[in-house]
Amino acid sequence: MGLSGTDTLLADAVSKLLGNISTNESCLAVEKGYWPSSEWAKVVEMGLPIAWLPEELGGVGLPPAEGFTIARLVGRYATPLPIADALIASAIATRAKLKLPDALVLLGNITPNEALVINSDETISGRCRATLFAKHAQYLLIPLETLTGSRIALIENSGSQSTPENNMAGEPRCELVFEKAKWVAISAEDFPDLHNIIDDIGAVVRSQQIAGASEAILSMCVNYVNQREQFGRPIAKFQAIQQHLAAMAGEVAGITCSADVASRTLIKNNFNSSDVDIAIASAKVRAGTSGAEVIRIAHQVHGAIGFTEEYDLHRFTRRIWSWREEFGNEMAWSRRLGQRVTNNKTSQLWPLICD
Amino acid sequence: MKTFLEFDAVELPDYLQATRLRAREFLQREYLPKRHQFSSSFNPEFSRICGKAGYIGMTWPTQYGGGGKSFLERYVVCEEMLAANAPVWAHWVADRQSGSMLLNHASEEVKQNLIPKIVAGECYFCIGLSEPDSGSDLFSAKASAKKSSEGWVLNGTKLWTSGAQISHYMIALMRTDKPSKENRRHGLSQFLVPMDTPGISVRPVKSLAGGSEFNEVHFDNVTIPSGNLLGEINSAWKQANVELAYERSGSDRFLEIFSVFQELANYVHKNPKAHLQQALGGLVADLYSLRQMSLSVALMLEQGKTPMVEAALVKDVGTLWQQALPERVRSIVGGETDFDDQHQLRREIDGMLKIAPKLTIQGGTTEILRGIIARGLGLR
Repeated sequence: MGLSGTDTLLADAVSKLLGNISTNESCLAVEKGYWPSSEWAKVVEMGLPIAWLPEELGGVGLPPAEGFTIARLVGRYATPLPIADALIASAIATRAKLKLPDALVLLGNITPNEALVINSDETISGRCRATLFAKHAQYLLIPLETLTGSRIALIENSGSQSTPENNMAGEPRCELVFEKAKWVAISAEDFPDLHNIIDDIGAVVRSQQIAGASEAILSMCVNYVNQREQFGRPIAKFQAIQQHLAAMAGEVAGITCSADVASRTLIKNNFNSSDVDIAIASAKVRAGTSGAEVIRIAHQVHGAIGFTEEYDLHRFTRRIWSWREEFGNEMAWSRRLGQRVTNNKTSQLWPLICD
Repeated sequence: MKTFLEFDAVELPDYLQATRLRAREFLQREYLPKRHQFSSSFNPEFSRICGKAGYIGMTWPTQYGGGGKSFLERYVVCEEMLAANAPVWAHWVADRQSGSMLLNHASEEVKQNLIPKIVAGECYFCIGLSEPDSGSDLFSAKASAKKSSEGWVLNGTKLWTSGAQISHYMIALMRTDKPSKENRRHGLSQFLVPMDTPGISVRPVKSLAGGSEFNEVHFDNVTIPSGNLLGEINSAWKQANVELAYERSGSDRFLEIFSVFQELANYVHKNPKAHLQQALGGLVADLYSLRQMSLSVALMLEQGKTPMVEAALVKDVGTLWQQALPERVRSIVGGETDFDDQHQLRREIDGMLKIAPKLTIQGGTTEILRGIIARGLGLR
């Protein structure tokens, strides 16, 4: 990928592992409620979920660019495990300087207006909205509103699960309800822009996942049209097909390039967040709009086989549909970006785009 | 897994911000206050001002009067010019590609004579490629050059030649031999043609937009010196690759009609309704990512690579985006109650709608570009 300073050896090792464990069968099994524990153990052994967490907080402390590479590869193989989600949680833990236990820690999915509350006896009550893979997490990181500002708390996942509902990819999510839950650790620092930080990191990770899935789809399409014969020749030889896939290549390049630019921006800002960042907004918008176009073309060139459960395409298609909605879809990010333009003193667009 | 195309995330080095601010100051001083005096976008007066400021031939060697600057510095200046809608088109082709072409393939005498004039903003170029019967199928070109005792004799017709009526020179693609069995691209050569040579007639072709930026150029026994052959005979197809990468990947491929976008921003700034903000923000996100892709190709060019497929791709997505822009702006504001025929934005939309159809045709059609991309994907 186009991020400088990434380690190809690591990427090769991750590719090999994810390639082995991410199959159509394993994806379908996860959809039926199976938790691939031995596969997860291998992922943990390689340190992928805590790649971003510094050693002193219990992580591996890889350079920031490597975490984005891992997210890209999770997308490229459509891995049915919460690797990227754990990465997001570990990035938040790093910002909050919270030491994480040796277990699966995920981020509780909270919007600003439905924050969990801290009771007078310091316990926590409230609900987390549909959180991906939450029932397999031993711990959750949750944003809290306290009298002295926003905090991040690490709590044991003791919440009762309600309304299980799979996402578009068929991956399990559920709502968690907490009644007087005890926290294990809580950040000392106030995070006035906590929800922006979560959205920024989450949006860039999801953009990388969509980038990876889009690359995989393009590759799958090229292989398919070179093999599939109709009218006595491979359909790759038809101009209509060539034009379709050339257009798809443009969309894929837009997604991957934007995701890398946004990743670099986050790294440069040390995962801090201030105003709406144009690179991040652009990456998530591009991932959403271009992702839809990639899907449309991929299914068109595949014909009926692409619409089946037995053929590999669906697990990429459905993951893009899921990922584009999370941490702000393209409409939400467009609105924020538009608001930023109108909040400026002048309406000059160009300095915003290039400075 | 093969990933086909590489678009690295480019971060412009800090020194370029100073270049950018200087260009902005230049435009503040020399263009914006008197922009209504510059009636045509082909504007020799403005080109000479650019020349004086060192904004033409920025990357060319200083021994010919060039700026000896990096390709990225030129890139930054160009995008500032386009974003300000400055009337740069008289010197644009010479600066973008013809000058480099001469530096690579012309004789020392020609270089010493012409490059300083181009740099001064006083010498303009057009490119003679298409013909009445050769559009996208460029290698079927028939206009010919034949060797004679006095040099080369040119005959035939070039069509859709932008700026021919104000250009001092054409770089013309001429047939010097038949295509060979092994290579249908064989047999075409490039020539430097002074436009005041006897036998050349230029007929402007009026466009639906009202102007006549393109022309039909007829050659009737036009004799040019033998030294005006550029590069290797019969091998124009080999020489064209680098030129095309420059031509296709630049910011003109998505900033040519930026003014309609800026007018939309002005409108939404005054009417900050949520649905307008969302629509504006979506377009801003698109443009931001197109620019990043173009920057990525610019860096490859700076590094001496020839990213043919990536350049074709940038032109494909860039021109489709800007072609759709006036229509999208129209759909965003067209239903607003305060939007009427007298609105400045309406005038911008109408003006740009008239330019839009050509954007995906000039410099390689969408279909030709996609053919190049498809080859890059291994489909052809």
